[in-house]
Amino acid sequence: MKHISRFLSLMLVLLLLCGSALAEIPTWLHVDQLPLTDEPVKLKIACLVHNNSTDPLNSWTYEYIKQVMGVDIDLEYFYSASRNETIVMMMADGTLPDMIIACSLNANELTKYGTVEGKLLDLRPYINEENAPNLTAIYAEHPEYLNELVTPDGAQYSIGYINENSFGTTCFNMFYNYDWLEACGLSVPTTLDEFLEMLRAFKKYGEEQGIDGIAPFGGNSGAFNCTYLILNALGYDTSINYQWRGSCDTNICLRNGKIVMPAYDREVLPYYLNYLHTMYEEKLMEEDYYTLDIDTCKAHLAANRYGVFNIMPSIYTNIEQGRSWFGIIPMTSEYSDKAFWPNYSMQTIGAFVVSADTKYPELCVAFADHFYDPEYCQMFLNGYTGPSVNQPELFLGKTTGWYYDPINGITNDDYLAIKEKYQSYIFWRYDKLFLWGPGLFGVTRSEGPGVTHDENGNKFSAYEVEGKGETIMEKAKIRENTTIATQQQGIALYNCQSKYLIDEYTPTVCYFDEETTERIDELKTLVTEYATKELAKFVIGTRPLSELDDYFAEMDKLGAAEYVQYYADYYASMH
Amino acid sequence: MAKNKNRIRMDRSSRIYTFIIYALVTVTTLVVAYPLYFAIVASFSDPNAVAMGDTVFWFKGFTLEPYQAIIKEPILLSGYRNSLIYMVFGTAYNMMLTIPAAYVLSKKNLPGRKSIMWYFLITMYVGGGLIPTYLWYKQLGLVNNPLVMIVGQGVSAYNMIVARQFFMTSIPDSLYEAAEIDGASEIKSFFRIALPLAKPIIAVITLYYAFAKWNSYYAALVYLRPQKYWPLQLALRQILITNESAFADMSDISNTDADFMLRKMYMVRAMKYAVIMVASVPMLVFYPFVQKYFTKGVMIGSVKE
Repeated sequence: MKHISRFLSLMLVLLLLCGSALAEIPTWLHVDQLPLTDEPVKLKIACLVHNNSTDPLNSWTYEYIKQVMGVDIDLEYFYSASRNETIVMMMADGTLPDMIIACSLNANELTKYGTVEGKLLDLRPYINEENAPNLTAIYAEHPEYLNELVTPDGAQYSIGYINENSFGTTCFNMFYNYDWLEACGLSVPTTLDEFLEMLRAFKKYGEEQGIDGIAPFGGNSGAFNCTYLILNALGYDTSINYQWRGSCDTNICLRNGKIVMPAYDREVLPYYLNYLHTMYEEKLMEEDYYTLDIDTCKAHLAANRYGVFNIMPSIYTNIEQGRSWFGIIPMTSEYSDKAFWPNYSMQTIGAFVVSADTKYPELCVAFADHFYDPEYCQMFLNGYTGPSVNQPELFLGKTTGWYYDPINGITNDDYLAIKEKYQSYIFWRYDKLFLWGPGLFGVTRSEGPGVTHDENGNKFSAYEVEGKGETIMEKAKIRENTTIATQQQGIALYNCQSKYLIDEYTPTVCYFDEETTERIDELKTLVTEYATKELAKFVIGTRPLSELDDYFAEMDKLGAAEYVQYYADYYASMH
Repeated sequence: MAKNKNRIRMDRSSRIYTFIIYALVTVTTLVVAYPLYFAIVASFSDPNAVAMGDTVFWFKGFTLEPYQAIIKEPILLSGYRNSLIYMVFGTAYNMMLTIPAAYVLSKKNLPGRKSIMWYFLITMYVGGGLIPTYLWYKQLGLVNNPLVMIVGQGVSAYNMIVARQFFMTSIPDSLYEAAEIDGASEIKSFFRIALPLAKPIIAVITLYYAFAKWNSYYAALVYLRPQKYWPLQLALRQILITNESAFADMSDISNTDADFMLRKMYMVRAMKYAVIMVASVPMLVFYPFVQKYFTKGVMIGSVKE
């Protein structure tokens, strides 16, 4: 018996040794860089944590930073609801932490706390090959990222979150009901005239089908504003002060290389308003388009009243109903003969800032840089890596990790073991893995849209799936096979809009000094409030279009020209 | 028959007047009660039916899902627990400071009475501001400390003035003088005479403070980071936020998870109404028990005899 035990023990040891020899350290795990410091350094970090993170001090990322990265951290965390108050108080109380992570400080905040008050560290001198090899490489490859981060005083107060992965979130979404197109015997419109004809056909079809309250041009003037589609066909690219899916006609934007505001564009505005007025008169859009709340919009979408919408409808209905929908094709018009779709900057600024008083600027930058290795960032999105990797010391004792299942997406054995406790994998991930939420700090960088990794580290795209056939109507048949809303959205955008993407877009970030910012805010309030109100009147017909000259005169008085000029000058200085 | 004989006959104009009064009271009651009724109906109905205006009078697409979703959230229970603790101890702390202050300030022979009153009055018009308050709390070690919800705010000047008015108008000075002749000290007068006679105002002020504590969320939002200390209102707010923003991070998740998250986003619209009910029910249950005192208490100072 004793001999058998010895023999078994020996065999086990041999097996373990063989296993260790076979286990490879993933190429992307730069073990030689860890720990970041051998000195007993304690850094104070303020971090905006994910709303579903119930106990950030017990998250895997927190432990990873302390144990593997070797940085002892004093974490002050907070949630998005108190983000603004926390930032103000941290800046005021004179005990700014060494680093602030995932707070998305905007251009005004960076100017105020960096340029004016000197509370933030200029990171430029510290971002170099030695401290930050990942960031240095990214900025060398994409100098436009750096341009967005450098303020007029020549300093770089923040590092941005870089997203090159999410095709659907970096360009406007817009969708048509393809089942209706097929039923009406139409193809996807390519001009504004065809678009109007399509809406009329949808209206007629809906009435024949007995759809109560049909409004083919869906949405409202708020979050579900589809007028961007028309503005785009008229040549506008609205991305300065671009508010996510909000009203576009009062935003500053590029048209034919010039900075303009659609609501103050004497050349195109009459046509644009007349077009919308026609739609309104013919009841092709919601009767209360300018007052409709978002919940009612969602309900109308679910009641199948719309033929055009700006968010993948399956998100607010269900995947079955959503299968009727697919992407739009950018259109042309008599004012624009080029069909284009702007592919916005994939960087959001202010993701990471450092206190000007920190004693460890190099370490802070090295810390940030760690998360700008795309593979590392993938690890922090989904946790330690898949079951093929057996390096428990690098993964805090974990021997299993996330892997991609073609049917179930990304999953994790640790989650499966305690599945009952969580309502979904994603909640487990938020609670047990994340310190900060996805999309706020680090880089999601890949070679194409929707690219992710399988369990062996191989890249593949869930979105780059070309529909079969020659025409877009044929290709759109692929919608019938998609099973996940996000994948359906990605595939729709890939098939319909990827050919039209342009890299020249209106800058999304503008740094102005405090005085100019105040003046712009003042003008913006006056001009946009008046324009929004009056444009609605023109569209619904309570103010005749013959009064447009009076409208422009009032806009002049309110300072619209000065307002636009600030952005025009900024754009000129950037180019 | 005898009853009818004793009843005072109203003339025509009085009957019309009474009818109008009853009609007005009925309409006012409906106006006040309908939003609550609508919230109940909406919280048990299909969110799309609510948005389409199909639940004006009755449920449509009856569902318990919003309540199930809220109850499953672990922070709900801790939120209830914390809110109860903050309400009970916070109100007790407020009352311990307010009632003695009001009693003392009701004494006309108190030296510097006017100056002290001004000291209280100023706080009704001028606040300390968020940043100074934060710095002060931080120095006191109250940031991320649940005590901030109890001792953070001591006296509401308004409540103190109402209580003082009660002591001044409802308890005659002769009562205190008699007690003094019998050898009672000021402290004894306060505990043996003033407090027993001040039940109505104590009930009203307790109710004011308790409601304020129950509904407060901003102090917790700013000063309390750990979720385990959050009061119910903040927990409910968080439940709505987390469900509403579920789609934002939905890339590369499984079919089951995607369906689950979409369903959550859908139900969050009904959850808004369920949240109103969850937050209101305890107060609705509590109120009838103090209603009789409340009616007496709010009349204080309104009638001159």
